[in-house]
Amino acid sequence: MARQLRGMFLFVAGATLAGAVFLAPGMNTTADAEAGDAIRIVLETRDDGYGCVEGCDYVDFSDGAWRPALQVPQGAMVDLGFVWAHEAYPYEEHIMVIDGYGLESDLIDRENRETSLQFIASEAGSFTFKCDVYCDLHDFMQRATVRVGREGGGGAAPQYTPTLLDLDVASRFISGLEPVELSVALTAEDGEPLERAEVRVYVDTEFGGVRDLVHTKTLRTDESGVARFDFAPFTEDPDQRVVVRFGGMGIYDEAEQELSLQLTGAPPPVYTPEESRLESVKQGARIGAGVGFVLVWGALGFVFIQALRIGRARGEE
Amino acid sequence: MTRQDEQRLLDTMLPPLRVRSRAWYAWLAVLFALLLVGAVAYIIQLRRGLVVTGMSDQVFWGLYISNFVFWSGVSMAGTFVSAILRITGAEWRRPLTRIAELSTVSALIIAATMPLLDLGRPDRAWSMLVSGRIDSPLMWDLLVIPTYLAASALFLYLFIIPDAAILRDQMGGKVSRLRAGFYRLAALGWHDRPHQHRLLERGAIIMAILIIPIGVATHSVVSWIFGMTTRPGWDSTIFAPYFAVGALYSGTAMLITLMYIFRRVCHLEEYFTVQHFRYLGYFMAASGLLYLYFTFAEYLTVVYKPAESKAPLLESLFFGEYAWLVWTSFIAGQIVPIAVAVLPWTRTIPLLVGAALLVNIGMWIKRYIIVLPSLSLPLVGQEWAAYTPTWVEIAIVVASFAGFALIFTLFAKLFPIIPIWEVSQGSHGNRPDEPGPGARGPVMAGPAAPAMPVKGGHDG
Repeated sequence: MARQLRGMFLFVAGATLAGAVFLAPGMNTTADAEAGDAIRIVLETRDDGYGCVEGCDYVDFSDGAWRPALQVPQGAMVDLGFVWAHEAYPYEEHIMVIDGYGLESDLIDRENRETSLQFIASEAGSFTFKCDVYCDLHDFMQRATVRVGREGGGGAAPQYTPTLLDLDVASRFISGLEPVELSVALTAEDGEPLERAEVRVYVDTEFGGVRDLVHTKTLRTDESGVARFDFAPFTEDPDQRVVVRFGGMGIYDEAEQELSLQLTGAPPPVYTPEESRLESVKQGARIGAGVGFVLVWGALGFVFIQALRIGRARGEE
Repeated sequence: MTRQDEQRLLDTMLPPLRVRSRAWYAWLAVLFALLLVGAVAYIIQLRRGLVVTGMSDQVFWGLYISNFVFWSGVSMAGTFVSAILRITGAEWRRPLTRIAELSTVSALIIAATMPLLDLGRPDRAWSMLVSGRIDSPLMWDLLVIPTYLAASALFLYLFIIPDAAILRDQMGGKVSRLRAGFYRLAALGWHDRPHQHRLLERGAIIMAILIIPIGVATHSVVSWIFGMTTRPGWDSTIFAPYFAVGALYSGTAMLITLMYIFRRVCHLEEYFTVQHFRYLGYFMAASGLLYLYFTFAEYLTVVYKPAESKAPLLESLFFGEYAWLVWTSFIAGQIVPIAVAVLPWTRTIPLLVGAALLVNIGMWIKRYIIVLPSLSLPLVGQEWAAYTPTWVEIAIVVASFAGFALIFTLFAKLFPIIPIWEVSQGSHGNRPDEPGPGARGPVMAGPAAPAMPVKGGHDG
């Protein structure tokens, strides 16, 4: 009996082990990574969808295009690469973007074939990445999702790369009569400029008795990591505090910088309607309508009085 | 009118004012039930907000404003027709002037409540009054609709004065003291004296002349609520005359419908003859043809050179989601009724009333497709918005029709629906087939001698 039980146990254990070894590669649609390392996935952009190059071993033809089923653990650093590999469409161009991370790749075509999106998968859920260039059928072909699972990577969470925002102006004293140009430079800690990054501009303002930062502009950095904007004060506050914020992008951490400007003169009105001779026509119409309105009510009052006089007139002949 | 005719008129009009049949109470119960459902719906809307309607931040006007435009349109024809016929001295007008004027007052009361319902919170109306900007057409509406309502009510009341005196004298001991007192008050001491005639005539002339531009101004302003925007479908230079003519068309149709109902219910065949229906049918056909022309001009100019912003709207109107409404409104609401009114062999009372009903339905739909598709159209960063009215909106709109009917029902129990004094003043009061215009001169220009048996001086 004991030998039978031991034999059965060994058979079950052996079968389980063999099944695990046999089935594991086929089930694995999750990019493997050592704890703390970046998960590297490389996909080919093809005429009929995507193909796997690295970190992915399964593409599914379910709705008219080959699409990879990617899965990464939450908190992992992901390096999602794309290799241009079209055959029937040699003039295809792609700029890859991924929902929820504000990332945009370089343009790839048959000349410049490789690009990548790097990000830390901070939020769980499914995120679509796609080509952002309108390219008819291939807009549909180059669309897939990466699932960020809640299970976690199991190792130390990757750290965002610190960034630095620099906000500069020629002079801190402004008259308020002319807008002044401010420049924002965004770099990684190693000094590498961050291009195509979204930077928001806020102005510290009091409105309706509440003082708060009011969002006034959204900028995008150029290839030097710089964005410029004109600032025109819209309040008479002598201390004009401008705040710029970078909300993070991919593997880069958020950053904030502020600058105080001294207002030396009264600002111009925020909105000055253009002088138009047509305004006099509108004014004339208003006056005419007003006069007509008064006359009509005057006439109604007169008729009403006439009606009331009927009662008083009964004795007259 | 002979003495016998006058007595027959009194015998026809006065007894129904005192008698309340079971059918009348049943009808009243139906109207109150519909109003009650509407009131419950409104209380729900008041408690939970406009979220209980099908409206959204994109489709911010729905059934309420469509219904507002419809009822303000109905209000147009009443006093307008009455005023025009008085000015031109059309004798055949006499039996129908009261229904016409009352339809204006009732429709305006109903129309005026619709924007209040649409505001969600009624206290917003106060905000409009104290903080409204005169540059906004909504403010113009706030000024012009009460003006039109006041003018129409005064116009209606002027010719109630002599009838109230008749009721005061004829029904004094047959009705309650409260009601008799009301008649005495409403009669303003009228005793058919020349001075009183002159005062009434003067007021009537002023009102008949004044009411026409006020009516046109009201419907122009209603149109400018839409026309002063740049929204595709509303951005039109012809909206003011388009709306005014449309109002005349739908208002005349409502007048024919009301005339037919009272003719059947109160047995007024002698006073609302086939000629009255035919004359109003001509009026309906003329305004309908003009409306058809405006419809053609409005759509041709935009379809001929469709701007990028307007093309999707036109597609949806003529071939898309709203096509069935547009074509129903066009064929059933314009082509068929106009044909019925124009063709000699279809100018019978049943067919003309059928045509008028089609106009009522068609013009309600027309107002819906003026308001809704333009709001559903996606503007910057939007998509086509869906709008499906909820039961709350439908119940309130149904209640508005019940309210209109209730005003007529109660009024018809208080005052004769045919102006007794005015008909008796006319030499051709109930014979519209005889020469009308000019027969007795314009606006009450008849002999000042009393025609009806009105007693003198007992109230004062």
